[in-house]
Amino acid sequence: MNAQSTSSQTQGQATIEALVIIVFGFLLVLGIHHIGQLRSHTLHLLGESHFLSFVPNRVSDTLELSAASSTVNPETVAMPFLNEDPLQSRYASVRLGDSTYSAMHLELEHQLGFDSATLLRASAQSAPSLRSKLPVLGLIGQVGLTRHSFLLSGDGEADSTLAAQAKIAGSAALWQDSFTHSSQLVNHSATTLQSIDRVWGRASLNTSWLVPWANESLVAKSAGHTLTLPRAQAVFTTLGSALK
Amino acid sequence: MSRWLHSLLRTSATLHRQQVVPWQVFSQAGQVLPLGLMLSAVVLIVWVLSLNLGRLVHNKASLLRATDAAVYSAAVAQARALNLHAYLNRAQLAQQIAMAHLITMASAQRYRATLAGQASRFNPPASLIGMLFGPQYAAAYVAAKAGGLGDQLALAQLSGAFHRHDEVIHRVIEQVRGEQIKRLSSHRQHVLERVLVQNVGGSGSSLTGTTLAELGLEASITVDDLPGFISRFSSAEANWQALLKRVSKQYGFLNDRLHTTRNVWAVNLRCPHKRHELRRKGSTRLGANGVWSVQDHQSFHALRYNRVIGCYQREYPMGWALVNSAPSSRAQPDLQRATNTEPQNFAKEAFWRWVNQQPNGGWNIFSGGDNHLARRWASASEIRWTTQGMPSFVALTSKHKDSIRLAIAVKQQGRLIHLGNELEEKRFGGRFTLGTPERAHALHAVAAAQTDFAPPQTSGNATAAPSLFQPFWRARLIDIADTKQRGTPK
Repeated sequence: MNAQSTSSQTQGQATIEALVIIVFGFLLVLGIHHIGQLRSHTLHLLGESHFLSFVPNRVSDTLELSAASSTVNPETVAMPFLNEDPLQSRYASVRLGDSTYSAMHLELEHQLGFDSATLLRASAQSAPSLRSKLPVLGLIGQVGLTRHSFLLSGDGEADSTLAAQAKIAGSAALWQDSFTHSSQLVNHSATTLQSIDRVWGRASLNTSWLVPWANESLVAKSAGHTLTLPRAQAVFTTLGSALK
Repeated sequence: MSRWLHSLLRTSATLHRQQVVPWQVFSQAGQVLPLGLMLSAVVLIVWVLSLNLGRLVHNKASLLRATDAAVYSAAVAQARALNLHAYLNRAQLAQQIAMAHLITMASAQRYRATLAGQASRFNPPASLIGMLFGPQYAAAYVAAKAGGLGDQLALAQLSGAFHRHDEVIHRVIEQVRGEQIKRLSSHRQHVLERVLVQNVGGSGSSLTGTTLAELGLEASITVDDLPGFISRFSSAEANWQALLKRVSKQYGFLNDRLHTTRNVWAVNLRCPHKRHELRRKGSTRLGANGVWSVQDHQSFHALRYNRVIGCYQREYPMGWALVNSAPSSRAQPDLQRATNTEPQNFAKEAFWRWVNQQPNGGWNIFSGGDNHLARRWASASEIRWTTQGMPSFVALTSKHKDSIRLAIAVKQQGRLIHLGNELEEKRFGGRFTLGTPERAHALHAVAAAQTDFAPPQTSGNATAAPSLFQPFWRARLIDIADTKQRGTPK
């Protein structure tokens, strides 16, 4: 083996080694870049889903059946995210687990507009591809990231005392079941009594047993506090007929 | 990268030009590989560190958000409970108003039936009433007959409806209220744990688990204002009674029926200033123990004269009714009903003599304003409805604070940075702990929330104080520092 051929072999070996190292190093750097980007994207999704879970007025544009696990309520609301960010948000109701309350309790809550048996699940889903200045090599294109946030959502508060009465009026267990029959009965009885009472100037019967005192000042026990809210007579009249 | 490649190739070319001797070349062979491997190892370590760091950041962020969500959800559970109590209190008031109407209607039906009976017996005749007081009173008297002489069906239906409302109060409202008070604390804890577990273990990250233990989570409540915030009171309590009375005043149908009408002309020369009277009396009362008592009666008081007592009023009951409601435990209908000793007519004995023979000298028949005889007849045929007892209501205690604050501290152990498990430590004969094991093994997060009273914005000067009659309770996250000092949070 002469010196020239040995030098040539060494040169070739160095080139191959350099190429191997270059490729390996390049892949490592690419991997670090992509993993970092993936982590950043995951954190972004996590924050997004957390934010979405706190959004008070969720827009339910479309309804679709959830393809998620059996713990998910089939009534799942999905909506496209309304900005340029390629994210999609999705809401679902997830069972809380073994309920602390009885079925009657939960039913009553449901009729009043909230539910202690379920949690809200807000999901943020990533776009199918990410913008990257480095070659993606098909890695990111396969990643469909989803992050969920869970929250007990909705305080069950009313917008006004009148709205509170309307909620009660709409509840079957709390009001409708007993009220419907009673109001019919009392109204029927009143027809036979009207001609007797009219001469004595007795006030006519009012079967709106929820609305007239909706804005009444109510004093709480012991606390001694009085809540006085201005009367909303206009709304009062409008909703009053609906509640009767 | 390309610059580095170019540099390597240039070095190789320089070696070739300088015609290095073979031993020199041999010693330089593979020089790039060790350097490259070392460089790769460094990059690999950086990668592993970045992976671990990323994982740590992710877990910390996840834990912080989970803690926020958990404490907020627990505060929501509290807000829901307070709002539910407000709805229940209001619904109970409405149910009792409905019951007041039903029992008043029952009294009105009995009054109508007795009025119809007297009209049919012409005692007194409708024509007389019409002549003395006006045709409208006669028409009203006769109109009672339109509903028939019986009242049993109507009373049975009204009684059924009354008991249905009572049933809702005791079987729905009371039960849910009791359950809410009894289980709120455990429900809040359940919500807190489930939200924590779901957010950490079900968020879609590599950490999975369905229990706190599986996820290495430990949650503890550090500030809790819930105990003693609300309490249950009997609705026999004066405040509730006052509230119910005030609400019932909104309904004119329940107002007192106190009317007297007189004929225009003098009917007896010996009593020129006195007249015949037609008295309509009635009331709907809520007794001290929440017992509804309703009575309705109407009597014709005919002006009479005799030489013994002079001018007096002979009462002719026309309609009468008395309906009471009482808790079933205290209902003793046979003992409490007045004995039926009042004569139905005074053919054998003069009215005024009989009145004088009554205990305490009877009542004033000269210038009275009541229908005493009708009242007695009503008592003799009293209708008594039973209830399931006095319900309760929930209110804020006198020592309640302005809000219910809640703070939690959450600790997550293990699997954050892989520092080896027990098996690995035994195998390698050492521990892979860092300088501060606790910090390396656990992540910590704290969060606070409160449930406060937030009435809707009002335009006037009205002020709103916390109340369990207004469902305006809401939850919100607060600065953890606010929980350390009592007062209004910023």
